Amino acid sequence: MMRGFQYGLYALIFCSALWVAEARHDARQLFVELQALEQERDQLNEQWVRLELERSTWAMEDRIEAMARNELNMKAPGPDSLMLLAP
Amino acid sequence: MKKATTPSSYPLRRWLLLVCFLSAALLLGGRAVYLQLLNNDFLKAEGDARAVRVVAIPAHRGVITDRNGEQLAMSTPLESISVSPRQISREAARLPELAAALGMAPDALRRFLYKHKGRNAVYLQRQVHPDLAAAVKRLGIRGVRTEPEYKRYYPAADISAHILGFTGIDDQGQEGLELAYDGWLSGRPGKKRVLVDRYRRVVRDIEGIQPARPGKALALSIDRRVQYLAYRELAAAARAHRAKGGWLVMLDVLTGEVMALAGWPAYNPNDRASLNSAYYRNRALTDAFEPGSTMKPFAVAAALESGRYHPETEIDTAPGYFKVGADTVRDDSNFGRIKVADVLPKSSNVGASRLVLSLAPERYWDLLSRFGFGQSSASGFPGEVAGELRSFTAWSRIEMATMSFGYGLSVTPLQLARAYAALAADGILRPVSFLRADQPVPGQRVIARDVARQIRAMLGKVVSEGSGRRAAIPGYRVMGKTGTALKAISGGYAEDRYLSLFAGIAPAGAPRFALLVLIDEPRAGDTAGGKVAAPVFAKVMAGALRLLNIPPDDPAALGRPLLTHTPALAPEGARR
Repeated sequence: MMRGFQYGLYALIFCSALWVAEARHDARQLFVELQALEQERDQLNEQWVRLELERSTWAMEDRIEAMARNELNMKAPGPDSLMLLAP
Repeated sequence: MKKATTPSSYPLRRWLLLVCFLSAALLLGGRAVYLQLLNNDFLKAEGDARAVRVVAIPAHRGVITDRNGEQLAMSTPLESISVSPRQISREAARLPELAAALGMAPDALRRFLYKHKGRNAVYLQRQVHPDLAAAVKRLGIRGVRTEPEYKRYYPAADISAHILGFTGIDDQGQEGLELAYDGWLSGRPGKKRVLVDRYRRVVRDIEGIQPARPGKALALSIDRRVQYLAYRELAAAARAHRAKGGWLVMLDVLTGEVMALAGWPAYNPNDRASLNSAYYRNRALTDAFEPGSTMKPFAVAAALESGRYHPETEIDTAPGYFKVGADTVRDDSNFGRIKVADVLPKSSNVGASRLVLSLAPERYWDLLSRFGFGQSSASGFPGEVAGELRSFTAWSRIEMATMSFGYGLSVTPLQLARAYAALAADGILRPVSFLRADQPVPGQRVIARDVARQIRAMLGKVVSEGSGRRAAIPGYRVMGKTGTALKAISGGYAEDRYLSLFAGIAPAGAPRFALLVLIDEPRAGDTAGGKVAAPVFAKVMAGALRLLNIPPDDPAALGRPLLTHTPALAPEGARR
């Protein structure tokens, strides 16, 4: 009876040893994956910043105004061409 | 012959040998046990020292945006290329390759390396494009390393330069709000432990020691569209009048937020080489000047507050000048008997002086300091000065008289704009904020509501019939005061150097913005604030009111009826 219990414990210890090895392996693989994903995230972030910067530079008011005035022949509406709607 | 002897067993020799081998084995075993079990900390440390490195994880600096989330400053990732002169000396044959990739002359590179030959690592180039860094990395030359770093970029360049300031090469704030909020904006680089091979290439991450904490974003109170408009109009006016410079401050009356703050001449913060300390000071906060007639509303306010005057009280300004001790206060012409309400539209120095001189000095001083003169505005901007408001105990009568029309005390453009914002807010003075206020900002009552309203009515007359006509905006009622101040030089006042000012509020019905325009030394003929500064006010304010959808409070002035029924427009607009 006592002895059977002992063998059972040995078996459990053996299993848990295998499980530890397995978990280690998994952890290592997940770590590698995490590294790759983090790197991808950083690269995407950097790209986003660059694109955002580009958008911001293209959207600068002086550039928009110059294009509107010179290329599209637009002008700011004067008071004469404004209509007011009563609230 | 003797009988062959059996080989003797030499027991002593055998034992001796055995003991020798045994003790040698014991020695080795003991050493092994010592190294493996007892002294392993030392060995582990030695091993780690050769293979384990702690590397930094860079953290970028926070973005600065305007109130609508438009980018004003952001950090873009770049790379730095460094070299270890000691290691690369073994790769001398490959130097021309490296020099070519970097766009350097091979000889220059050699000289550079020779100069730093004792060092472990020196920067070859900083803030280079990642593509270039990748190309250099691909050469695979031993001793050449690349590291990520950041460069600050300002899309609005000179337009917002004076507010934002700039950062140094190590991404630390050096001027302006970049400096004021450096702790908030700057990120904390993280650290991690990695395993490296004998070429010091990272082979594996072991653990993170400290996660990188990126800098936090900062949302400013300014509106990039209004800021652009303000800068453009200010620069145009300063150029047209061949002025030495110009400053403009626009505040939101209800929150004390800075909507725009422009200075000219400005500089481009993206171009480090062009940085000139003469231009990067934000003089709207760091310089105080004598404001001239734009101070008169506060003299009249002090008179009204005393209870001894009301707007209809008559005062005598004849004959257009009067003597205070040995000095004379003069008006442009003889206005005769005028009402208190006319002192501002006529901009009468004599009137303002007479009002103030009839008051107790401490009461006038008290009113000025309540409006924030002589005190920092608590905006947190680096280098902000408090201006000068001397204690009333030191005032002479002539000083008190000249202070009523803006000489003998000095204020910053921001202080003046803030005081006008308090008049616009029915007498509530609010702290100035460069950050977007998401909640209503409590202020402090500095003057009775009635007095603030009476002053505003007088300021309205300055624009409708006084010296500020050019500040008028069709469809809106505008209030404000012009100022043309002689500049103080050592030993007195320069006769030909002026500050042209206009401080105003709009719309009159429900004031939203206070705007101060200052043109420093216009030299193209006109010097009067009403001719030089007031038109800038009108253009910037009109644009801001339109951009921020503030309806006209005087639509009748447009000369056209309001459209009350718009059946043709409504469905079409709805469909779109």
